[in-house]
Amino acid sequence: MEFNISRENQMVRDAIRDWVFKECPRDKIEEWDSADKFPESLSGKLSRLGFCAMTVSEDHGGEGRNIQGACIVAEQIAARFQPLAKWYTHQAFFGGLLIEAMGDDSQKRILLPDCVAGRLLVAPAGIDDSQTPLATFQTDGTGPKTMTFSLTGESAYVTLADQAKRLLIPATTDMENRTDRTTIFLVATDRPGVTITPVEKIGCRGARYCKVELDNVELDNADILGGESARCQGGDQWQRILDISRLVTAAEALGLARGAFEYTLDYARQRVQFGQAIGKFTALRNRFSEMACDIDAATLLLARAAWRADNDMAYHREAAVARIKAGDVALRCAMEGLQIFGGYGYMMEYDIQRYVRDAAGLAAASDGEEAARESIGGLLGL
Amino acid sequence: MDHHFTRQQEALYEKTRAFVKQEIPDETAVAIETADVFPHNLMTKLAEHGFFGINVPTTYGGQDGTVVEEMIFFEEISKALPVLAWTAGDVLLYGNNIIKTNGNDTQKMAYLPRLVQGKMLFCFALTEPDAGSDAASIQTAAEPIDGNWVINGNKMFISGASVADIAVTNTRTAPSKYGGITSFLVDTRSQGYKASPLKKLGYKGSDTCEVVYDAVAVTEDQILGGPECLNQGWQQMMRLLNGERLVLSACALGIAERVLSHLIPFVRERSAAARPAGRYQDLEHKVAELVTEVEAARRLAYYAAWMVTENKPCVRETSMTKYFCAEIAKKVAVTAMQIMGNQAWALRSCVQRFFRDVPVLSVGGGTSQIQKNIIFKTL
Repeated sequence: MEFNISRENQMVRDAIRDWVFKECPRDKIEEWDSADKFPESLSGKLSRLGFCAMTVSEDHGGEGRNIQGACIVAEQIAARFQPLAKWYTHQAFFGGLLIEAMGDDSQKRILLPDCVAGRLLVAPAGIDDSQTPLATFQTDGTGPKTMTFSLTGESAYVTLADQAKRLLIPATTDMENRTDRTTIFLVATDRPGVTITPVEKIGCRGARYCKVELDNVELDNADILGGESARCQGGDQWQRILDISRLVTAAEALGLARGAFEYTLDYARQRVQFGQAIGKFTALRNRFSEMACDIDAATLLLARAAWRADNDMAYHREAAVARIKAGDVALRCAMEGLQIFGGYGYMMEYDIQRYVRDAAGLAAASDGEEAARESIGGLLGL
Repeated sequence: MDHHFTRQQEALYEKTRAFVKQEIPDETAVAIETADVFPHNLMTKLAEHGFFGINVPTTYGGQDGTVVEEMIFFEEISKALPVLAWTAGDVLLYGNNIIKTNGNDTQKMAYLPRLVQGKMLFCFALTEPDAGSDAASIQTAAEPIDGNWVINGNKMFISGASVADIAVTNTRTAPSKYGGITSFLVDTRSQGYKASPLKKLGYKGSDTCEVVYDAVAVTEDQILGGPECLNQGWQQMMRLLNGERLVLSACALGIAERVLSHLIPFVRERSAAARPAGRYQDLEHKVAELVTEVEAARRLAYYAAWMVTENKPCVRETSMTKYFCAEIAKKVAVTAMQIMGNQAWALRSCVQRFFRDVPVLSVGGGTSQIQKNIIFKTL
């Protein structure tokens, strides 16, 4: 067993951390957060540094698949500014990684170069709200001969749909009696009939979630994720999409946890009350110890899931476990941090309140914490 | 044992509920929160309805209620607009209670009738940039010059400081940590007083400020309780802590109840639609735990309130209450955010508003950590 992260990924970690600190000064973050504005200049810069190529093999123009490394990138960005991490995961994971794993040759040829260059953001619909059933979209496809589909339906909370080039849409295609009646479509967002409306939220501002409405959007076989042969194989594909989604949620959550923890630790070392730094009081010092335990646990769980993914092993359970743990830890670290900061924590001038607002969305991220629990229960035969 | 409110208390409960229903629809609450400005209009209406007299002796135009009346009022207001409870606190707690408990006759005559009529606002200035939980380490200095006093220093997180008429300002007048604090009734129009509102996560509209005192001149008659109360500021404050803790607890209960009123139907609807049936049993159980804890918190709070009205020693009970209510309310809000997910995270949701309000209740009025210190000391 190897518990050290590779030299390559250490370099990735240090490089992205330095970059984020340089490019995301706190006054800028405050400005973007307050205006609910995504810093588009930053995503361009991030792409040019090559980080979006880390999830795609060299055969398809990437730098060789390094999922552990890409998780570290997402984590490090989220530790400072989660909206940019969301942008990154929607490019590198739902774009590059997913299309290389599940796309057909034509989709890989056409889409992957843009994914690698950070120009093709993919937003999965029907995933961000655990209440949304898998098959949100009905089709009245005109039969197997013509193979055209017409999608109608809506999904309430689709993260970054307003910046996406493609939406991943699970739909019920029930013209035949198959065991799996779900087909997943890659729908270009500029198709007629697609309406995307951003919804304002309290956290992760800038990376907006949107209401996506589809009104008779005409599609054909070429729009199916994986092409014609993947029709009615959506259930299986969706499971793999969920795995990716849980993995990136874990990475973002771990970043938020670490960011909140380090920010609070810094304060607790400096803030003096009753004649000593408040972090020295046992009641607070032990809270930091517990948070450190939790963060270590989440780090190892995520590393295990990503390592399995890198080695083409199933990581269904591992991703669910990492997602639940990291999500819990992030919210806990943010709330503990807010309390430890006392009155200052409540002030917009300090970052900890932003960690709280960001972390408050984690329970619903991906397909929701409850769904991840259900998955684990299912794997336990319950 | 009698767990019922008196008829007067029942009437106040109904009256407050009616006021909330009539005057604070959600749109009003959202408008105040969005604008982040002090709710002057609603404060005027509260005065017109007589709410600012609930804890003032009849001699001064009030209804002579106890801490129980205060709790009823604060809880009901907090269910709709927590910040209005706070701004009302600038009258009920930091005006009425401070003056009626620690003021001399002249001060009572001068201030109480006007507070009751809504013609005056107070604010309470204790916390400083470097004196939070360690409140008695305040450094803002009052120095005697030519028979009068001059105040220099900074105060932090003072709610209502830029709109108040009187800032009850706690100052250092002698080296003794607890025995060297004097409380002055500072006219905020005085030269050298400057309050700047701060932007914060929740309780928007509270006008919470950083205050600078730059050679603010006061007379010895402005000492709370009169000149003979020099250096008695800490003891004066201690007399008010039980009441303050219980009122803040009532605010927490109000927030918890309001969040539950959104969470319970959400879980009920989800459960009803669930396939297979019983799929969300775990969520139902989480809600069951929360309502049990809120009920326990409420019982503790009203038991402590009863002790206050019976003049029994109850520092332990009020500290337990403050700690428990604030933490439980926070737990309710956090759990609701988790269970309701994206729906609660959206800006249009009521739940997120209460979620942003609630965390300050485990900080202000003595943090949960400080309450636990006190509780253990009393064992």
